[in-house]
Amino acid sequence: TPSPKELEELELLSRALEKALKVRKSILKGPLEAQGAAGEKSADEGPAPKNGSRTAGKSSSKGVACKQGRSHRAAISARDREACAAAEPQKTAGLLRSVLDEQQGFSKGDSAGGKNSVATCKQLFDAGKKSCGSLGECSKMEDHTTEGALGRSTSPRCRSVTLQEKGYQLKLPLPYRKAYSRNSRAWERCCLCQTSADAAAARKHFIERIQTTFCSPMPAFSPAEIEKELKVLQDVPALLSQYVEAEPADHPTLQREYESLLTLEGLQTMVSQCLHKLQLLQADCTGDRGSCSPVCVPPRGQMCDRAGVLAVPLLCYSSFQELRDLFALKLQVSMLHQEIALQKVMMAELLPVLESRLYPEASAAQLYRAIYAQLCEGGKRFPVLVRDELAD
Amino acid sequence: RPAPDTLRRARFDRPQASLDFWRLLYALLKQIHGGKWTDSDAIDNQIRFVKSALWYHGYGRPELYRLPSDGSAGSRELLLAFSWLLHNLSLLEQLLAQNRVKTGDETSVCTCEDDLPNSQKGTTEIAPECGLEDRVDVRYLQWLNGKLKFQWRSLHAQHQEQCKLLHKIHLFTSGSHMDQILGHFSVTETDLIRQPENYKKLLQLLESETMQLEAFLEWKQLEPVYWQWMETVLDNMAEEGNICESQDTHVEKSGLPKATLCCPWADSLTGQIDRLSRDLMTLHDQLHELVTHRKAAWCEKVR
Repeated sequence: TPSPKELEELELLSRALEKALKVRKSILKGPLEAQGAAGEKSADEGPAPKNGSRTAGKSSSKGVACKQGRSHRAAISARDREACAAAEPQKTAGLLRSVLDEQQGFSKGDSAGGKNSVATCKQLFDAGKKSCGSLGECSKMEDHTTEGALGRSTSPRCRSVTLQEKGYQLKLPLPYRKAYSRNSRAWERCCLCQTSADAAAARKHFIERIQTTFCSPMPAFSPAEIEKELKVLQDVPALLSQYVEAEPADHPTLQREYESLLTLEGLQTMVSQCLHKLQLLQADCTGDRGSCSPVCVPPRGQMCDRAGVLAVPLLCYSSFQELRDLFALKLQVSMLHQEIALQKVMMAELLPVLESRLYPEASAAQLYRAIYAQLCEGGKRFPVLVRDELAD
Repeated sequence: RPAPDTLRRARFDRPQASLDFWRLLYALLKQIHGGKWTDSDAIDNQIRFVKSALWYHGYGRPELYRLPSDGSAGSRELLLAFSWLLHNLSLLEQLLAQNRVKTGDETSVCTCEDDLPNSQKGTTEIAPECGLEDRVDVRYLQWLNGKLKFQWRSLHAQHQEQCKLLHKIHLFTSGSHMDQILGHFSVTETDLIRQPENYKKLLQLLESETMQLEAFLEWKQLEPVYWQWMETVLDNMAEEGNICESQDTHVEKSGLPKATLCCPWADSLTGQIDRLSRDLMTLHDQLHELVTHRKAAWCEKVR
């Protein structure tokens, strides 16, 4: 006796078949969304998306019927179908076969033409599987009409398979693949494309000329450049401090001590250079700047890295852990940025409160405790205050 | 979007081309600056934006800033500005890169701080805790802080979950992608299977982008012609300039409009610069002391 599961599946199959018959009888038109609904119900675990069921397109009796021209069909020969079905560890395989045989009878009425071709099924599964013969190349998705026919065909279907099982066999439709490769090649060419010498010369000439018409003492840094430089300089004090701290106080050898001294002097030079640059930026900032309208500065776009603007490097990760770490670290960086900003604001707001002594004396201890916890312990740890009094 | 004719008309400083050109510059600059824009933005707002963006990038032709705010004139100036931007901002490359069709799973490894638009406001607004004579309870602050921490943790958890799912998709589809290097589908591509309408859209986007890229390559071939043509525009202006120079000399002297006394941008930047200077000075002094000390010690040892 068939198990409840099998019964359920049989039920599904028959319903699908019924619908198939109905549709075929009527004028072939429209997306067969209804079909789709029937097939999606298998009990599958987890978040893996249930996708593309095995589609048996218009299967002619034997051999792959692959019609070129406007309406492409994905066809799986019955033979292959059976073989594939057999590979599925299903008890209902036998059931499938018989249903298919029935279905084959219907496919005769299939006409080659017709814009509203029903069988614009997307053949998802590649002939990679050794048991299924040669399927492959008929996987063309014709999208000029019925979109919804993706994976919905007039045929009965077996239990939907999970991405996990079949994902590696998926194949995107040929138009997409073609478009994708053309697109990649175009990007490559654009990345490699260089400005010709003539163009560069002509451009340089023009730019120089137009810049002579700019108002006479142009500041060395444009506002955009000032901001960019400042951004770079933001981290410098912290970084250099770290280097300074890293230099040990004692050294085993004279040689090491000398090297350490040189390092420190080098750092000193760097600091001076930065200070000098800051002065220049300051001058340009407050100097004879141009129009400052209230709509003053446009918000910054992603002007992060100008070099190699066109090339998007591929970031590969080799393990799940890496990906997780990447996400986690990025988030942490954002969080830290926010914490720093908050800390600055809080310091600016809270410390004056302590200094001003405007609060009632009674709550002083609590106030100190709270502010300390907030500013110094990140709001996570609260110090214990002990009242040091002699009980009389 | 503007017709090729617009450029030609701009060359001859035809006023009809001005409006189109303002709009073009507005659209381009807005994109560069990461903003959304609509055609319905008032023309004088658009003009103001373009002017401030050009100022921001260091464009120094005073004539441009003097153009009227109704967009009635100045197409030639705008043409010049446009060409300058082409070069200075690598406008085409920037826009292509920015609008790149995303077929894959992308993330940025940039650790730059997101610029909050109003982060530099002087007075922070603290939501008042129920009427304690306009004082704020610090406990409210603590509560807010806790809430924030909790939300960060939730976000973290969600990110990790997303990461897990992403990985699953990559794992399950590896071996299927036509691009050998990638080797697996992205979430977008996998989702196409479930949503065929998106497939059509994505395909169209890809194809139109490819056309844009090919147009870009063509442009690169013809680039010298463009710059030479721009030079003729300058030539024309120079000729005309000689004729009416005498009239404009007193205007020329003024240069760019002077900075008003309170420029919020300059103020906030000055603040930043001051803070940085202070930090660097501290470090400088610290280093100075350290180095002197070490040097003395060294000399002692070596004596």
